[in-house]
Amino acid sequence: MKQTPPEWAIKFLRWFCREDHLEEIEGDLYEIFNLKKEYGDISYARRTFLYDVLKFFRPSNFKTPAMTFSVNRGLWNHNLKISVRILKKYLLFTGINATGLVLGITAFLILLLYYLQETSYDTFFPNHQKIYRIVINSMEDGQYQESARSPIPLMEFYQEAMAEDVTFGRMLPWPGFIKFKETDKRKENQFVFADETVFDIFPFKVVRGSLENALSAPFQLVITESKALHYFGNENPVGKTLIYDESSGEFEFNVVAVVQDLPFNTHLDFDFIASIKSLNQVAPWYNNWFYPSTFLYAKFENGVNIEAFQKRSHKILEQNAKPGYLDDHPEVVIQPLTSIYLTSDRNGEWKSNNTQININFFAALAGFILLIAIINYINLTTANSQQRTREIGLKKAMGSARSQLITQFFLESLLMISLSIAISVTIIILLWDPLISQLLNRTVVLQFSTNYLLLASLLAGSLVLAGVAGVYPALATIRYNPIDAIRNNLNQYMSKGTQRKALVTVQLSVSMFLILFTMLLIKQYFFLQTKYSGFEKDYRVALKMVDDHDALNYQTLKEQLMQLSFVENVAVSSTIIGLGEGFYGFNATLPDRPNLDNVEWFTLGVDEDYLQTFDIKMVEGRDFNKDLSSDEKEAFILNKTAADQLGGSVLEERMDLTVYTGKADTRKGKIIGVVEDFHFQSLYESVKPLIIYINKHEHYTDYLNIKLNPGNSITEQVEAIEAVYGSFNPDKPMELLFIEDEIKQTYKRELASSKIMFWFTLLSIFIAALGAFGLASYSFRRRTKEIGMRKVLGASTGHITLEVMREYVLLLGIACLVAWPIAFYLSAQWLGNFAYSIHFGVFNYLLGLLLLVGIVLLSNLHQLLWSIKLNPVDCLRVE
Amino acid sequence: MKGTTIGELEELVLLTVAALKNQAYGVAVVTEIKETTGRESNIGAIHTVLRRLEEKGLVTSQLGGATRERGGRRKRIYSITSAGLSTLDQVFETRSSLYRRIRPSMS
Repeated sequence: MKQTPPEWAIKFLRWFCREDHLEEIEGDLYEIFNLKKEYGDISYARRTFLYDVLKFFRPSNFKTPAMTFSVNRGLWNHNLKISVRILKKYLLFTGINATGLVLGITAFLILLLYYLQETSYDTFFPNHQKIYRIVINSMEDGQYQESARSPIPLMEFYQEAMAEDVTFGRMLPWPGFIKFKETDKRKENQFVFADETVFDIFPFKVVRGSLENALSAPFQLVITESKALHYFGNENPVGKTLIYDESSGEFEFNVVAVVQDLPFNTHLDFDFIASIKSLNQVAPWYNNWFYPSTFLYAKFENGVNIEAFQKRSHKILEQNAKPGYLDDHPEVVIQPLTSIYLTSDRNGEWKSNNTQININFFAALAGFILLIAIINYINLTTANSQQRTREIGLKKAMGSARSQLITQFFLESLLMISLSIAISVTIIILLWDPLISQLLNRTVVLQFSTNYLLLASLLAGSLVLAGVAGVYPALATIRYNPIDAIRNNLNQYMSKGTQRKALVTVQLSVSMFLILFTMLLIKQYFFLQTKYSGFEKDYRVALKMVDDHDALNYQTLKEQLMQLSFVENVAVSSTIIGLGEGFYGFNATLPDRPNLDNVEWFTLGVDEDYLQTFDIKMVEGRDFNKDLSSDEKEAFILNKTAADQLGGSVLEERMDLTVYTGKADTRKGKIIGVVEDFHFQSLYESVKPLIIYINKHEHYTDYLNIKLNPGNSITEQVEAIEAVYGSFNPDKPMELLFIEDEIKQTYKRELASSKIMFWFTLLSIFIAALGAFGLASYSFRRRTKEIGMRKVLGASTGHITLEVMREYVLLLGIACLVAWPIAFYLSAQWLGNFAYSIHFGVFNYLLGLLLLVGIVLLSNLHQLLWSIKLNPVDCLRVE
Repeated sequence: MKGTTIGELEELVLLTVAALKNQAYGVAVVTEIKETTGRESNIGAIHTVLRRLEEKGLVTSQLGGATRERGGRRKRIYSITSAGLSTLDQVFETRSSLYRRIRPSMS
């Protein structure tokens, strides 16, 4: 081992330490080193030497900045000046390069922001890692249900069992009407009842009033800032009252506090929090095991062992649950708060959540686009640097060191990339509001200024990028012997462009994959949009029966609506068609076929006009008949799936259906008809067996479905309906749903994904095409003489085109080999989510290839035309 | 008098420089402090203190001889100035006057 201190440590010392302190410090360090060498062993002395050096790494020993720069300023200035000149001289390259980089980085940053936002949900709550949601899995009516909620009484038993270190809190959404002045009455869907403890779990930010003891007494209310503004303007709402109007009556609530509006990145969704104790008056029956169910959150001060907690929960359920509750085999599950937004898709969530797959997908897209942009940059820079051999040669001849040349290239890259990032950030800031947030279909908050992590990673990212993109061309160029370089005698150095070809192949593969996947998304989306659902949804609206008055007297309203000239038909139903909710799974038996327990039935309660209103076609048998009073109790219509599942002829077969109208009511009747399958659930689901029966009980008269006249203006029709409804029920605002729009909502996510995918794929293909364009102009220039000679020897335009495009054939072939299997695998995976999906056949792959070939041709077009017009004499005289 | 206010470590280093007569330089001061007080001090910190004392005019320095164990580097030898000595006197005076008030017999 060396007997001296490590040299690099000394170098480091000399780098930072000012001259006039250096000798003394170095001397002391040597002395200490020697002392250690005597006492301990040499390796110990060497090992700890840097540590001793670092003891001197303090500002009083630093060189002053002026001293540092005086050494290098000239060189830096020189490099900078040369870089700027080079960028100017090759303006076409610079332009293409910069455009590609700016587009790539912009796209990448947008997707990155989206990703960061989607993963930030609920992380702003202090102690968010201690908070969990308690939910229930169970078998209800033979169906496995994953609920986002749990029974209301459950919390009390948890509190008894483990109050010491766990805080529990319930939040129970209960939409109602808020009556403020006689004139102002609004439906408020984000109204919840909650325990006072929720403020210990979620410390919302208070604007006015105090959360101390808030919600501890009945009829206390906490509202959000925007609702405070809406109802009270600039007055202080604390101490004032709001009237909550529910079917059971009107209740006066005291506002005790105003909290800040919820940020966008939480899975919670409310505007009003009322004390849960108020429910003793509002709905005295609420505290039961079955309906309604509530969100239940728990904060575990000392962490939680999930398995033990689940076991304990099971015991609590066994000991305390109401008889009957355990029949559904409930199973307690706890979800970490921050996982809810990306992983939970249960029944009765606050609002629709995102999925991990979805955001991973965007992250991958971001990565792809950045990859394409970087490859472009490397390719173009390498190609361009070969034109600069003379400069490099001269520099070498003048004694430039390798490191200086690399620095030069690095600096150029850094300049280029930091400029691009700056432009990208500017673009994003400028286009944010009108465009990008729209595209991402949500309120993404632009967080450049506050997100230091993001800023830091941008800086680091640009350095790394500059390094990767700058060093490779540098290394490729500085190999040249200066004499050869100056004389431009470089044939021996000219690579066959293998690396470049490899990079282009990667680009082509990625582009191919993106094209295919975009095609897939768009096709599937349009397929879902246009697939015939088995019923007519255009010009059909559903009028919601919002209260008991509506539900009991719907007949009157129906008659009044029928009077309107444009209304073609009106029918009542228990739920809305096409959305899949509210098709209760009641128990049905066929006395003639005792062994058919395994059929899972869905039911739909309607009146006699329903099938006609939606133009649902009969396969056999007959529709309900108004003149046959027996139909109301004894007639059932099945859908085709149900009939097929039963097998044989089902007409006139006896059937018993148990319907719950306050009490269980078993109807003994006959199957009178079978209808064509229609998609009463979304197209994610295959059509399930359905029983359609007449049900005019007020628990089931939830919607009046109206068939409008396509000939009249929609606005006028809606206004006329509103007038009728206004006189029928003056207390409530009308809730009218357009069936088509409601169904479209179901596929919102597919629409959003296809939109984003489409635009970003377009962008990435454009970037790749830019790169191909730049490369083409480079390779054509290099082959000018060759093309000239071919022309002299009589090659036709077609020959030349073929000749220059030939090299792409292999690259495209490899790209297909790489991209097709991946696309095939992933498309099969993705389409598996849908019960009804397109067939994504070979034809699409060929179409994708054709598109890509078109893009490559297009980006070479300019150069091709140039070479075709070329006069051989000009180019053969190049020297 | 601002210039003569010195901190605890400064006082210790100043005392050591005075005690070492004309042999005081970085490593020597560190070793001396270790031997007399048992206290491990950071060589970087000692350098800074020495320089600060020099700025305050309490010590002066000159470059001394080079030795082999210093890799041929010269030492900077510090010696106490009269201002340094009077500062030490003043500090001692302040401390002992306070001390006398709690232990009158020990004076």
